[in-house]
Amino acid sequence: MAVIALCDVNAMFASCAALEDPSLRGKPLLVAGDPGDRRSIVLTASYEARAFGVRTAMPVAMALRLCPGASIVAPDHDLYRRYSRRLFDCLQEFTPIVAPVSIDEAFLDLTGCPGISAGPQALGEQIRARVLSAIGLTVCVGLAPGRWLAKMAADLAKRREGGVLHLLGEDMPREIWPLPVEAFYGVGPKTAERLHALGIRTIGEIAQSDAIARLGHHGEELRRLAQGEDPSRVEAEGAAKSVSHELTFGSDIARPEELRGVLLSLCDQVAYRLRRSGLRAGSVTLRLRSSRFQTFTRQAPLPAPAQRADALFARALELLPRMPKAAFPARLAGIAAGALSEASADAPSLFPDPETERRERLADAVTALRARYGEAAVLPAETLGSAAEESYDRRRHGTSFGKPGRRQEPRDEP
Amino acid sequence: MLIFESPAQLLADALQLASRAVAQRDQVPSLTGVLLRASEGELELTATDGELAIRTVVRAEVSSQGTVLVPARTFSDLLRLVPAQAEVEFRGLEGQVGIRFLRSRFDLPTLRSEEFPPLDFTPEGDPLLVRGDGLKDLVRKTIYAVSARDDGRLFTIGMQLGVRDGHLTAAATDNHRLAWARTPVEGAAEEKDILVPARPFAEIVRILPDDEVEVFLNASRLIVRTSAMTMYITAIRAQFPDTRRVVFDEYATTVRFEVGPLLQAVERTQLVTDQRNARLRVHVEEEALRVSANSSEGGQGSEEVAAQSTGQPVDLVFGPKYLIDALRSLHGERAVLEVMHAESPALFRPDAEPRDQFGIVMPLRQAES
Repeated sequence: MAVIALCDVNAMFASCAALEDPSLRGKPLLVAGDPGDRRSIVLTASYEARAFGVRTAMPVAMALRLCPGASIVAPDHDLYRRYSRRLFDCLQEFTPIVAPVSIDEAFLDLTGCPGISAGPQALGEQIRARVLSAIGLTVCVGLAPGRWLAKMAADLAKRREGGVLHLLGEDMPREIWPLPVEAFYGVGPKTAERLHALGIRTIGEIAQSDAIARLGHHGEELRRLAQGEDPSRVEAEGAAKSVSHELTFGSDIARPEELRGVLLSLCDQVAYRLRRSGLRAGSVTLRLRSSRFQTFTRQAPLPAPAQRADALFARALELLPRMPKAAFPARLAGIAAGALSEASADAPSLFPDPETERRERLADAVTALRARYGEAAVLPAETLGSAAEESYDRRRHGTSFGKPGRRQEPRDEP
Repeated sequence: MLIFESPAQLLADALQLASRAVAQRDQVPSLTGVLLRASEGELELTATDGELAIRTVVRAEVSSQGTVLVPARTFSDLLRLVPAQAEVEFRGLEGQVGIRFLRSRFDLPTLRSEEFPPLDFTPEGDPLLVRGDGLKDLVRKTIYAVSARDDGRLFTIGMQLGVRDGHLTAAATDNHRLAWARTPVEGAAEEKDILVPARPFAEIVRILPDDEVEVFLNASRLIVRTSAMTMYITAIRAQFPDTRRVVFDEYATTVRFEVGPLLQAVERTQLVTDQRNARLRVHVEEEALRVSANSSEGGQGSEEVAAQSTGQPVDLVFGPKYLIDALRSLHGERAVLEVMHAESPALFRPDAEPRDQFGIVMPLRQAES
C-alpha cells in the first residue's frame, strides 16, 4: 500500500528567527510586517506566544496586550527560503519523491523507500528526529495512503504528543469521523453548505449517509476519502516545473465569455510569480473543471518565452474556444505556465521595441508595488468585479509557492 | 490527354527539385502537387507552397500536349526507385495518370489542376549576376542568427538582402544577435533591399549550381534564375532594423585571437553551465581571453586562450550557444572581438580586410550580487 507523508514545520518564521538569534529561543516571539508599527499584524507567533492567546493576523497591539513580554521581529524571506531549501534537501534523504507545497511543508511518497520496513509510524518519527537534529526545526508528520488523508493526518499530528500520526482506513471512524465536514480537506464553504442542506454535519456522515450521492462525482469522491480510500499520489518536484494558479468560483460560470476577467486575473497572478522568481514560461495550460467535476486541460506553446501577463493571457484566450462544451458550466479555472527557463539566460534586445519596453517597465513597477503592499495593491481593471477579484493575495508578503487547488489564506497553526 | 516519354533519372531529378517548393501541410490539396505541362519537346514542372515557387524544364518526347497535377510525394518516391536508365512513359488524364516502365505499370490518382494557382515567373528589370557558391557562403555566414520561431516580430524570421557598393549583402537577426555578410555582384546599378523569409531562401540557395546565376530584387519578391530553373520567393512586409544602430566606428576594447582555440575552450567550458540558465564569462585581459563558467550543481571550469587586446579590460557574459554560433560562422583562422562596454553589442569579425563579414552578439546582463 502507498505511504504518503505530509511534513509541516511548526511556526516556521518564528522558529527560523530563534535559530538565527539564540537569545530569542524559548521566549514568546511575534513576526510582524513592521515591528515598529503597533497597527501591523502578526504574521506568525512562536508557541510560547500562542500560549498567551496570540494568533496569526492579530494586530500587534492586541498581541502585546495578551503577551506583554513578547519580542517582535520583521519577516526575513531570504532566511526562510534558506531554511526551506535545507528542509527539502533533508527530506530527500528519505525519498527522492518530495513535492514542496509551500515554503514550510512538503508531501513525500515513502512507498517502498528503504526506511519503510520499520513501519510508517516509526519512519515518520525518524524524519521528525532527523529534521530536528540536522536543521533545528520541528516538523509534524502525517502519514496516510494518499495525499488528502496525509494532510488530515498532519493536522491531527500537530495536536499530538510526538507530532507524528499514521492514519489508516480503519482509524477513520475513531480519528476523523467525529470531525465536522468543514475540517475535511477538500470541503470548502460552498460544499459544506450543500452538505449541511443534506443534513450531513460530520465526516462520519459523509462516509455513511446515502444522501451524499446527491452531490454526484464530488460526493462519491468525498465518500471514498471519508472511508479511507485516497488514490491521490505525489509527484517529485525538482526545480519548479510549472507555476500555476487556480480559482474555484463562488457560483459556476456558464459561458466562456464570462471567463475573460478570471483568466486575466489568473495569468496576472502567475506572471507576478514568474517575475518574482526570475522565470519565463515556454507554454501555457488552461484547466477548467465542470460543475460535474470533469477536468479538461488545453495546452499551447508560447511563440517566445514570456513572463508578462499579456503574453500568457493572449495564449489562454486562444485556448478557451478549444475547450469542449462539457467544460461548462465551470466551477474552477486554472492557468499554469510550463516549460520554464531562467529569465537571466535571455540576452537583452539589440533592437528594443518601444511598446515591449514600456510594458516591461510597467510590469516591473507593478511587481515592486505588490512586493511592498501585497498582491491586491494593483489589479488589472478588467478583473475588477470578476469572480477573480477576491482571489488576490492580500497579505503584504506571500510565503507560498503556487498551490494548485488551494486558496491562499493565512493559516493559523494551533 | 498528356503523353510523354523521358528517362527515369532525368524525371526523378526534376521532380525532386520542384518538390522543394511543395507545401508540407495539405491544407490546400493542390499545393501538395507538382504541375506537369508537356509541350513541344519539353516538360515543365512547377510547384509552390504559396511563399516559394519553383519552375524547371526538362527534355521529353511529347506525343500529346497537356497539363496534369500529380501528388508530389508519391510520384517522386516512385520515380526514385525506378532503374535510372529506364525509359518512363506517362499518360495523364484529369483524374488518373498511367506510368509504364520496363514491364511495370502503375495507375495513380491525380489532383485537380484547375485549383493550382497561376504563377508568373517573369522578372522585372536587369538581373544581378552572382556566383551560386557566393550565395551559399552568404547563407552559411548568416542563417544561424535567424529566430528559431516566429516571435511576433516578422523581421526575426527574415533575411535582408541588399545591393551596395558592388556587393550583395545579407543580414539576419533574432533580436539578440545579428549576422551580416556580403559577396561580389555584377550588374548592380542602384542600391536596394528586400526582406525574404530566411529558411525558404536558404532552401533554394542550397540547390543552386556553384557558377553564375541571375538574381532579381523586385519590389514584392526575389527571383533567382539559372539555365535549368526559375524560383521566386515572396517578400516579407516588414521593416528590417538598421544594422548601423548596433555597429560603431570605434570601440573601447579590441581583441585579436585565433578562432579555433577559443571555440574549443568555449565548447568545453559550456559543459559546466546550467541548462536552464547557461552563462559563460569571457574576461578580456591584455594577453589572454579567459573563458569560465560554473553551475549550481557545483561544477566549474576555466580556460585561457592567447589573445592581444588594446583598450579597456572588460568582463563579458554570453549565452554559450550564441557565442559558439558566432565563432563558427567566422571565415578564416584569426578574428577580432570589439566591444564598447560589458553590456553593449559585441562585434566579431574576421581579422582581414576588406570587411566582408561580421556577427554581433548581445551580452547577457551581469549577475546582480
